Amino acid sequence: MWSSFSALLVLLLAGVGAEAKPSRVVSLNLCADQFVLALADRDRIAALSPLAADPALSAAAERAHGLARVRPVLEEVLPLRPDLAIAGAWGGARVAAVLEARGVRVLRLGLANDFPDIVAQTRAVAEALGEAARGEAVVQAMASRLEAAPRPARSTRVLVWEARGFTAGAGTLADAVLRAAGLANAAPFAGYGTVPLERLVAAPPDLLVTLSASAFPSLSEALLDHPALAPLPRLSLPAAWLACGGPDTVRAVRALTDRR
Amino acid sequence: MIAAEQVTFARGHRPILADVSLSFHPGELSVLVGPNGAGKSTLLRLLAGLLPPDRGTVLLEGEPLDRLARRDRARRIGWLAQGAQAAWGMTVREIVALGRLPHGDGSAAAIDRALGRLGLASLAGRRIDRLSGGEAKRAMIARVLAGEPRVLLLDEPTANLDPAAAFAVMRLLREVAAEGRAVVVVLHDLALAARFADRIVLLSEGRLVADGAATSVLCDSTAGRVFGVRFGAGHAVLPA
Amino acid sequence: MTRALGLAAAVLALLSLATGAAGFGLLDPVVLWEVRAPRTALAVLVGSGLAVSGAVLQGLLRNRLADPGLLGVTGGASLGAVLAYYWGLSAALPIALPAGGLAGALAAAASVLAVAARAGTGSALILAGIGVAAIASSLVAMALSLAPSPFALAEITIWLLGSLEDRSWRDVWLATPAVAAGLALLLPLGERLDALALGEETAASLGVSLGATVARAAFGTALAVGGGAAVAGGVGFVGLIVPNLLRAAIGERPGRLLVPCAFGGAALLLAADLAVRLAPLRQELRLGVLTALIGAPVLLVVALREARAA
Repeated sequence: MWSSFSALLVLLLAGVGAEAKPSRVVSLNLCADQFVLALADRDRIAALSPLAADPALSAAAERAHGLARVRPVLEEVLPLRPDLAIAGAWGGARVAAVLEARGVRVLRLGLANDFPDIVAQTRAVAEALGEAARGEAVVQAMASRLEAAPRPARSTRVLVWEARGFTAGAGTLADAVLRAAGLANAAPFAGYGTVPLERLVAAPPDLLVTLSASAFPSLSEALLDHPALAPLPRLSLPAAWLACGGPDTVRAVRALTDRR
Repeated sequence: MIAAEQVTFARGHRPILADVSLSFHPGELSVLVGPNGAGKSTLLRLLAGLLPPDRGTVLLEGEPLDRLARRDRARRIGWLAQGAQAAWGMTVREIVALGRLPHGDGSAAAIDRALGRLGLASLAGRRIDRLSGGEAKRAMIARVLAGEPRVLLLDEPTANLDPAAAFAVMRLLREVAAEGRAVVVVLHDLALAARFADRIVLLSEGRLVADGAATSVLCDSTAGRVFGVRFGAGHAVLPA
Repeated sequence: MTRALGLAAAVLALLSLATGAAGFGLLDPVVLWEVRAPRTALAVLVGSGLAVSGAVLQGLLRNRLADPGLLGVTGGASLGAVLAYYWGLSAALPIALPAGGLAGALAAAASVLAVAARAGTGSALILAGIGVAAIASSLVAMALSLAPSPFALAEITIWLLGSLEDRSWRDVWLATPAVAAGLALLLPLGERLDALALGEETAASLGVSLGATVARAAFGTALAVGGGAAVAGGVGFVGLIVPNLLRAAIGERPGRLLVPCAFGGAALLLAADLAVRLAPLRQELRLGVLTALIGAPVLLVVALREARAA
């Protein structure tokens, strides 16, 4: 009996000393979902954000099926007893604070606006998950897909247009995607803004990229189908591919370059 | 030429007219009198075709009223509501012109004639809501005249009129009747009735009590009993 | 007066064609034809439909405050359109959109007329209308909250206050048959409304069928308002402002107001739509905000005058 007890003690101490991989990971944010699904073992994922399986907004929607989802509120997150939480820069702030107070590690991801950001975040999440090797593999895969993308011969002016004429200007994720695809952003400003229909029609880009976030009718997205835009060359992409900077963002780049 | 034959009318469970038969002829100015609730206004409405009798029929020149087309009826019968008012500040001319609606013509001649007969020529362009009660009432009467109907049914046309104006209106109605129209008027003023009516019809509690010349109807035993008054010299009304 | 109003409307229409985000003037033909022309056409259509409906309702109910918005008809139309639009009915069958507006408007008009039959045409009627309007707008809010698209609820101000932003010829083709049919039913009602000025019984004695008049007025209003709200949302107060202002200039005979109101309504909505485009704000103001800015004071003045006259 004394020997089994000491054996047990040794095992326990060994467990405490070793670097344990988190086994109950909670993603509190849509953008974190992408990383978690790409890097963690499925049985270590306790829950994802509420929008994880929404194909309109989540680029990893197919992979999110079958996994639990919780809202970033204390009553839903605490019962899961997570050992790692990944959150966005501001959402779920209260939940994050309480988790940290209880000794749970919380990794906060900022807004990824370009590919270097995405790479850095991939590595950070991989490290937190204890899957550094997997992280590097994902980074390498992204890089090679970007390299392999064919570049257009001359610079094409592209405008990215969403519901209500919302446009992504310089310095945004969409802008980084366009540059990675060798295209020029036709938006006349930095950051996010609106290009009204009339200005779009009066000074049309070479290519109009429209992002649709919902399969259901709305006036905001009906604008994207205005008859005045009919003659413009256009490409429709799911808003999900540009909603968050993550491993799946490369799909948007390929869609743009493959179009040529 | 317009006749009610055994008409009965009730509103809900309240009987208003019971088995009344009367006929009115062209050339005749008839006055309906009776206490409040006697059914005078209702009878007028039945004659105008505004209400259908529960029993009995109303005949216009021999034809049942409900068999006539709406427009046809409107051309031949003119009806003035008790306390008639206009909802808008229309001009006197516009109000009077409404009388031509059933004819479909805005016959300026007929309108001018009507305005002239009621002494409204100088007020034709004025808004009716800016006139005195008496002037407005005359405009309403002119509206009925403008339609040149064969039958005129007027509910208290002299209400709001000063004695001189009331006399003028009654005199005019006598002339109109003499032109070959049937004129039926509801009055509360028994003296006015006595003075101008060719015939007085006394109603009480939905029934016909008396029908004839002023002398036979406006006496103590008939109208006196119904109203609870006595009659003195010259049809003067005295307390009982 | 009608000529003056027509001229004003024409000038405003021209200004409307020359105004927009792309700059002032009749520049780019595509912008002119595909963006500004439909918007201008809709302003004329919806504005005249609303103004004539207001004039007819006021004549019918003998109440200066009767207006399709105040009586809940516009709210009902928005509700019908919202239900048809967000659940894909109009995507499958385009005519479902104006049909929804018509159905909603009819339901509201029927409720209000039922009240009129019971409680008369005075202030009780207006209060009942306000009740119907409140129910309709809360149902619109609920419908938008439950709609499948995530953008729906943000679009609530369009449905409750109206907007002509970015409308296309498609919207014009959807609205025109309904509004035109509505106007065709409403404009000839002048004579009957004149007769009704003397009361329902007197009108009947003049050969006017009250039932037929009410039916035509109700259907005409539902078509004109329902068709307009289906594509432009619920613009309010036009039916109140235009007849009351024109009455002061033209005279109070209800029949005489109808055609001038058509032009006046077009002019008013064209002017409002110009103003929302010229206002230097980040997002275009909703039309109903401007019409309310004019309409609410008109409402107060008319209501106070009525109270004083009573």
